[in-house]
Amino acid sequence: MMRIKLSFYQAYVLLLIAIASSSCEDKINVTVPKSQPLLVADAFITNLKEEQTVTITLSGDYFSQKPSLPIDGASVQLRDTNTDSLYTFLYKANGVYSFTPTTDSLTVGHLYKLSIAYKNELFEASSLLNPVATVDSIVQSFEKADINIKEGYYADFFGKDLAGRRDYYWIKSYANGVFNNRAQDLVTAIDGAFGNGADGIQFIPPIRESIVPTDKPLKVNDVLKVEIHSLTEEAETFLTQVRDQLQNGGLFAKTPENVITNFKRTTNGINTMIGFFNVAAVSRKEIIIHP
Amino acid sequence: MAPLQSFKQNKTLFVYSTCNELLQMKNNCLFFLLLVLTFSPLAILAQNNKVTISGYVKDTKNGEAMNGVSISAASKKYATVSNAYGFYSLTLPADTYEIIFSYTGYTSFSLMVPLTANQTQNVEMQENKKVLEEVVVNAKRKDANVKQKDMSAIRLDINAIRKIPALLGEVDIVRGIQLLPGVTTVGEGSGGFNVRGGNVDQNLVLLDEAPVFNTSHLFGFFSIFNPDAVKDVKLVKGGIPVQYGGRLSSLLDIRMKEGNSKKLAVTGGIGTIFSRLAVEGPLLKNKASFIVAARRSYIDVLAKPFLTGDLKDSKFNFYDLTAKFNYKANNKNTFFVSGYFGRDVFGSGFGFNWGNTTATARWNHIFNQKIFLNLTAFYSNYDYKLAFKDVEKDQGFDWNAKIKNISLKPDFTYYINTANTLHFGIQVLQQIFEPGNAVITSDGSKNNISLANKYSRESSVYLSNEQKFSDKFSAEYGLRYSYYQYLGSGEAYTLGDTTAPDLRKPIVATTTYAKGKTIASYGNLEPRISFKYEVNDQTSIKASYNRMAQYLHLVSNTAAPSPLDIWTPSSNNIKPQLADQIALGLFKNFKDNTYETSFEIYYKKLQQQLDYVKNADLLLNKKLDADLLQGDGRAWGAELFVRKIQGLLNGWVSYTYSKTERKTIGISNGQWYPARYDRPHVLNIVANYDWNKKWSFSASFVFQSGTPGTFPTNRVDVQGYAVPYNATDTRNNFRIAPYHRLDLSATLTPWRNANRKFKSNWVFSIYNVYNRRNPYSVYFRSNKDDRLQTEAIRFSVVGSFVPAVTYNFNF
Repeated sequence: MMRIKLSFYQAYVLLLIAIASSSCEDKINVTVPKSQPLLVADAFITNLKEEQTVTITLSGDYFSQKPSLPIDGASVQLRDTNTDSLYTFLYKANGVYSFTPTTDSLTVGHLYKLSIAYKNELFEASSLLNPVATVDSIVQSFEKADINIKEGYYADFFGKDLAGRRDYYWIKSYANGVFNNRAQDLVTAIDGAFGNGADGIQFIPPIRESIVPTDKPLKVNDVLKVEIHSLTEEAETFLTQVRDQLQNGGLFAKTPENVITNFKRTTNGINTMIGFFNVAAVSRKEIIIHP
Repeated sequence: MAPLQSFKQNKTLFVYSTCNELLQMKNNCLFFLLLVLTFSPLAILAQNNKVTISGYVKDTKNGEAMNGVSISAASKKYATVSNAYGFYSLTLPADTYEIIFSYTGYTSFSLMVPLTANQTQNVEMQENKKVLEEVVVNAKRKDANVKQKDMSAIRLDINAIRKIPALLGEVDIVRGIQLLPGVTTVGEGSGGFNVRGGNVDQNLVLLDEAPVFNTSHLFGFFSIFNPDAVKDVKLVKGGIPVQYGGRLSSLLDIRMKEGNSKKLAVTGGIGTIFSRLAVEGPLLKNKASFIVAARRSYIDVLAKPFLTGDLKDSKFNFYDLTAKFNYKANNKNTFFVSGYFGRDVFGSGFGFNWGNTTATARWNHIFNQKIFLNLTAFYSNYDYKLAFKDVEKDQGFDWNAKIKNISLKPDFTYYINTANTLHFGIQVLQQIFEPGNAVITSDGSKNNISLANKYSRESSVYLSNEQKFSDKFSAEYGLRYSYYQYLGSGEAYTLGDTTAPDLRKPIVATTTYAKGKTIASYGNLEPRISFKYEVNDQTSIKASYNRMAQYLHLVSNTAAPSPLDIWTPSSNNIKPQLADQIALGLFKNFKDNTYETSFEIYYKKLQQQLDYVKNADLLLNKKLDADLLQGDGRAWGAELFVRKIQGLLNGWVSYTYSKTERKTIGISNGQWYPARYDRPHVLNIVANYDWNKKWSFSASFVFQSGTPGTFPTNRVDVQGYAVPYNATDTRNNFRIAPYHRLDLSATLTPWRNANRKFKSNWVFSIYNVYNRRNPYSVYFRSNKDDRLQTEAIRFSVVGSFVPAVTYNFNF
């Protein structure tokens, strides 16, 4: 048995690098063009009955070593357009606006609208709350060291894509409660695969194996948690772009492109807001690695 | 003259009926017919008191046909040049002439002939041993640079390519081409090449007339052409003759050896990457010969003992097989069959392989000394396969894609008289695209996600005349008409509007077409004109204009083309690409044609160049049309080329200044921006020095401006990721550092070889001598430990110097 990387594409790029063993990457200093201040809203919220946050920042220089400037004083509201229920996010700190549902949770199938008012300008984005596939099981396995695999415990998750509809998912994995947050570990799926016509199938191997990175195997007693978040089509595009833009090196690098946004300014003004808003349904499961 | 008249009628009829049957393009056909008729008076000029001498020119040593031999009579008053098959035909008034055959590096051959009636003269020419010792870089007509009508065209003899220091010592045709003016690449190790601002898919690469879709082994490190089987290589960057079409920017015409018709010969070598072996020889004396040449990489063989466990089944090799057979039935009929098969194979727990297959059959027929027919039928296929299988878990997938071409092309040359040579013919090209056949097996259940095949047909008719108006002024002018059909069975999508031009378009309607029905069609008139004015014997001025149409597109949005890229036909949504190019050049030779120089300027306008929407999905995408954008391109430049073709020290220097830009609605705010392969300054120096009979040395130096890249202005923090973002939205707003490299090689030919049949040499080479890390690209990422630490990363394909030794032999 052989664990495969996220895609064959990457695998053969690896092969190439192995061949042209003299190929190399160096960190260099370059001067990039001057930045323009851009409002950024990071609004990936879920229907879970736990704290939901929207973070608003002012984007700065690409090479700035400081965190983006937090934006306070914005008014953030979420509206269920099917029921007209209104939820208000309150400012906490560091640009984070928070809301914790107490009674009802958000409803699958409803269309939600996020409104951000800041300095006499109003920015809005919508997201449909799509249903999500269930994580049925997580099966661990032990792998010996190999060309691009470290020795240790790995796992596959099993789950079946919802049949009869086009679904977009974000597969999030956590090792001992820590989100695998590197770009190469960012995995999205369209239906059970990569969106080329397969529907209603079990998540295919590169996806089901993606929950433990091949350079970060687990040990006995580690806790592995897997979540599937439902996405809108645009949100899946956004996350794919994020992944591609963050690891766009090598012989077959794609032409760099700006990530899309679903925020629109609905009043007159001069500012632009980028970032993304998605409301997800979530399914999750966790296991403890056993010997 | 009765036969002539009847030929004229037949020809007219032939073209006319061909038009009707093959092309279904009534109005344009009429136009073409008119064109044929306007040329007809030329035919009548051929008078009764003229006679024709014709025949084939071959090399005494191996019987190979000689292309480009100058044949002249009466102090060059009447002159012609042999064609790619070695055929010549010269018509002149009845008299007694001294006919001179001349070719650089060969002893001129003269013949006193009393020409009273038509006659056939087959000629064999002998290499000039004295000149040979000094090494002739390029075997061809001595004053070709000035005298031949071609411009923007360079012929490279395989021996000239052999002299260039090569990466890992592997003689490589495409890398040789990349040292010529007007030719660039996006970077080391990338497949293909860019000619005068054209994309890699705009080169018509012909191997014995069959198109090759991927010219690379190992992505782009080595080209697929086995130097032992190649006779000569010609790159045409502008003024492309009417016989060729279907690509916008260049013609790379690679001709295979016919095989030694005099004796059995074996050539071979052991290099760092490949082992090579070629066998050629006569089958029937002076009538039939063959060549079979094979290469295989052998790193995997050497590595085998060291691979254990899961890696035991690793596959890692590339190989190619080239073969040609020819049969000269009689003086009027010659047949050629040639083929190529090559693959790159990788695998370790998965399988990935790709390669080209071509087959060409040709018939040369001489109707009546003045009319030469080359009928070509070819088949060409490029495909790749990806497979993964896990028996234990009962899962896997199989994926393959291919493009197939089948074509028939009768091509006629009519040597009317010394002042006029007519070229005409037709070509029908059938294309089958299999953009992706894929089956996913997941826990035993199979899910077929294959895409439907696509079909297209490209039919062309062409006619041109090479006319000598005076001793000083000559021209070639002609027209090609291409008619393209996108055929069923298939689905055609009607695309809707989007909120922004760089987003995927929605499908608003789908129409299904039955097999053979035309879904979309396009026709293009492609005029081709070139002029030559000889200022004096050593100087000429040339100018050309050509329009080219291209109906198929390589879908690739990666920095370098990858073997996974697919080709897609023009459709109801994707329009054919068009290019118009004008070029002007000054050509001058010095010191009895020892030095050739040329200075050319060009301007090229491109239409319907492919670009892509954001987050485009280019593989296994049924609705690919919705992810494509089309825009304009423009390129201009000046090329200076100085070549020393003889002497102990020989080689060339070329300098190109150029600009290549694109403009597409939805990209870079709809403004002009530099193309990915825009390199304003390119300097190439190739020098060979033959020190003595034992040692020869070569050096090449390359300097190229860095390619442009898109650099971010802002860092956008979302979901824990620090995403690079360019607030100006301009593409290719920065340029990476220049590329420069020096390569050296030394060839040792042991003394004892002189009197032995078995000859061998050793080639020692160093690539990237001063160990420069040339950037291929610069990209941006966050530090893996601290995402706030954003970094610029320089990616170099070759990060150090690369030494190599190659052993070659022949007997």
